[in-house]
Amino acid sequence: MSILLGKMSYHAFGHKDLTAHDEIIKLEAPSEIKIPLMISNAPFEAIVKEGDKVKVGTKLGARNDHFYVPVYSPVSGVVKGIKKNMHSSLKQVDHLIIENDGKFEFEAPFEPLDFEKASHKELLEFVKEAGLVGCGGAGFPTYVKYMMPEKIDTLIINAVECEPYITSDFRGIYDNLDLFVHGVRAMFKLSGGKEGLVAIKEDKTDLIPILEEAFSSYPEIKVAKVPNVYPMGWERTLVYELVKKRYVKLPSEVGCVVSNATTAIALADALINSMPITRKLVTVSGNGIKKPANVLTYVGTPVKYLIDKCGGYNGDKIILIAGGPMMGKSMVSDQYVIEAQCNAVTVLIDEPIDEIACLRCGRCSDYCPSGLQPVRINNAEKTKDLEALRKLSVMDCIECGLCSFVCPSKIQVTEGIRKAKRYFALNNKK
Amino acid sequence: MKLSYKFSPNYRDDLSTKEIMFHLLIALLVVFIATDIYYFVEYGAAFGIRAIGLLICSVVAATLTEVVWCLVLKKDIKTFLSSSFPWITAIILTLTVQVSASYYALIISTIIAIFFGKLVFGGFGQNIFNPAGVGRAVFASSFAGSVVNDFVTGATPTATFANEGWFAASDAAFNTFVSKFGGLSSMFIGTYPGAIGETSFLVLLLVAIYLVYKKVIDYRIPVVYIGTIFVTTLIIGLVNGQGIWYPLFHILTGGAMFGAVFMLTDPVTNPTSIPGRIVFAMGAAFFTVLIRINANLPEGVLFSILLMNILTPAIERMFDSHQINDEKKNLKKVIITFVVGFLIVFGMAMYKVNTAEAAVNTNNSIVSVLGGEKL
Repeated sequence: MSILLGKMSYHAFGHKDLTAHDEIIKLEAPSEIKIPLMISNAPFEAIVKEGDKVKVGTKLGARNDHFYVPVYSPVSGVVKGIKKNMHSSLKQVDHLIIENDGKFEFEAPFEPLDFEKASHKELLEFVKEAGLVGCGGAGFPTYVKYMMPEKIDTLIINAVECEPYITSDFRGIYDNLDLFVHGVRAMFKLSGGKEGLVAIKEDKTDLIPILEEAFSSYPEIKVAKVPNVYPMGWERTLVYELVKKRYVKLPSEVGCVVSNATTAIALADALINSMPITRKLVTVSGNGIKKPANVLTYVGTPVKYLIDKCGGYNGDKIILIAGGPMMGKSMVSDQYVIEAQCNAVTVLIDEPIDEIACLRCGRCSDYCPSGLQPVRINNAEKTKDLEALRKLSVMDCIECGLCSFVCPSKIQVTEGIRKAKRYFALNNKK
Repeated sequence: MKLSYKFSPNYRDDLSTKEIMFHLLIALLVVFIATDIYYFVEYGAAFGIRAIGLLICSVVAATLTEVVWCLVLKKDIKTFLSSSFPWITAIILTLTVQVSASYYALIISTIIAIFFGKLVFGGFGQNIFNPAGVGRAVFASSFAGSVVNDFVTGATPTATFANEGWFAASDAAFNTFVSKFGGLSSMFIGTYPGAIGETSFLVLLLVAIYLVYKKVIDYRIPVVYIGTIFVTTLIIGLVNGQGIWYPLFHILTGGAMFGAVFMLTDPVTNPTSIPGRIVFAMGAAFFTVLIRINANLPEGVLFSILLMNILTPAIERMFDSHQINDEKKNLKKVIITFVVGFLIVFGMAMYKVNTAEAAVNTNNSIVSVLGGEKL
């Protein structure tokens, strides 16, 4: 570690025991499923219409901007039309409503594929047609990352799960070990790399030996233990930890490609069972929920349904978060639905925070994983100093929340930086 | 049931500013108690009790100043005090004066430290100067003679050595001089006259380790400050025929370690970035050596801190950068600061030595003209 740089990460207490060691609760599909006509803020074009009969696996439509991501029906039943509904982006968005007939008739949307015999092109086409997206939260189309195998040396499977409370990757691997190994091997082939690394936090002492055993017959794939700090699961932090190289835009610049562990499981499910992502393992946890648990739920299920199955809210003033407590947005309604990229719902009791004056300790700058200086950015934003904001590389902030987390005066540092980013983006158009 | 809208992150570390200040309070009290035990044993109960009296006076004066401020501005006293920590300033100030200080001098210095050093700037977090440093400067310039003779513990090594021009004629001369204080080992342990908190390097070192472990202070500041003083005075000493004791004396004496642990690390008045803090500590070290060797003041630590406080905003701007992408650039700036600072301090020290020699030569030539009679 350099003398001029701080730690750039921080051990945050994870509360993982709330859910990590309990059985997964398998939820039934609700009578009505809602599929948002939006994927990662991009429009989604429906090809079914009101009155159409659909089966599990029937193609509903696809994201059709510069990326192609098809979406398949998670249940069988009848399309009831399109209605506005609260979305996890906090906007009212059109949702495709499907009435669940409870029969779960299945029609395979694509043929299974033996990845060992398939060419890279066939495998890539398969991943694209399966509608595979990054299951770590961002929902980025997986096939896009694997289009340049000649550049890749290292495949990194991200099983770090550094957000507090979330255990869905951990639990998913634990319960679907064979699928996970199959998916990682398929991704390794797809990546064109020479080495595969399954990155997992060193404190997962129960899972690590199981993984090492499972990959023991595939010497090209190794289990890499990483420190138990936040944000170890962020692509840049993880790549630097494993290969000690920094990149400007994409990990492929330093020969790496990173995919989430749950994405690998989803890929295996598609390869073996012709099953696209129709169900998701979601961690419902926090001190604001009566019975924290990992629930296996159907895509398109309203969060309210999950909350009710987990015993309901545990208090009067609640913060409901789509995702983990560090980066997840707080929701003003529990009517938003689970999508393919959702991995957690965090429910916290809303407790007042005692904010006092900034003592200029610089802790935010010491721990910023992007190497920014949050306290200086906030000061520059207050004086509207565009030039200083440019020097401070304000737009490199990923809003991981660590600056607010470490602030001893409990100031909303991250929110100040969001303001600065908005101000900079508006005024920097030259 | 209500769903609140809150900005992310909705998860906070346990460590709070109040806890940081609590650890600092413990550390300061440890230093105070260690010295006070020494006073009881070495000088008797009257000295020990007087030190406690000084501490109480200063803490009460600081707290009352803030209470009056709250009453005048109609602020809630309890919330204001609990996030303003006046007692920390008061304890630091008390630790920088000698036990012979008069009560009223300390009280007035405390009031000025809190009022002009902190409150008028906008309170905790807004002040430019280290408040205790402001108080100490007022004390030094206005109340230097205000001592109670019954409690004088003797001349400090710093003042004594300053009278000799900060250079010893020979190793033997230095040994005679330092033996008055029990030698360098006693100066390390702290059994010699000086300000209440500054004398024991050992206690301050242990306390510094505790504060670094508790993440209250950045280890870089004391390491860079003491290290820079050591390297600079080592080279100046070697060039001028002083032994290895020379840099050791510089870091052991005159509150260098106290300033390094408790005053330079004051988060409010030092830069927020890591390279900034390094340059800040380095600059303070250069000023300390410069003031000691070249200026009339015996002590350099206090004013070096206040001088660097003035430069804090400039240092902040100097390192407004992307810490990872601009790391090499920042390292270059740190190295340039060191080289320039060192050359200035070294040059000034050599100038002082040369003019002193020239003066001696002139005297000698006058002496010879007057036929050997001493002037």
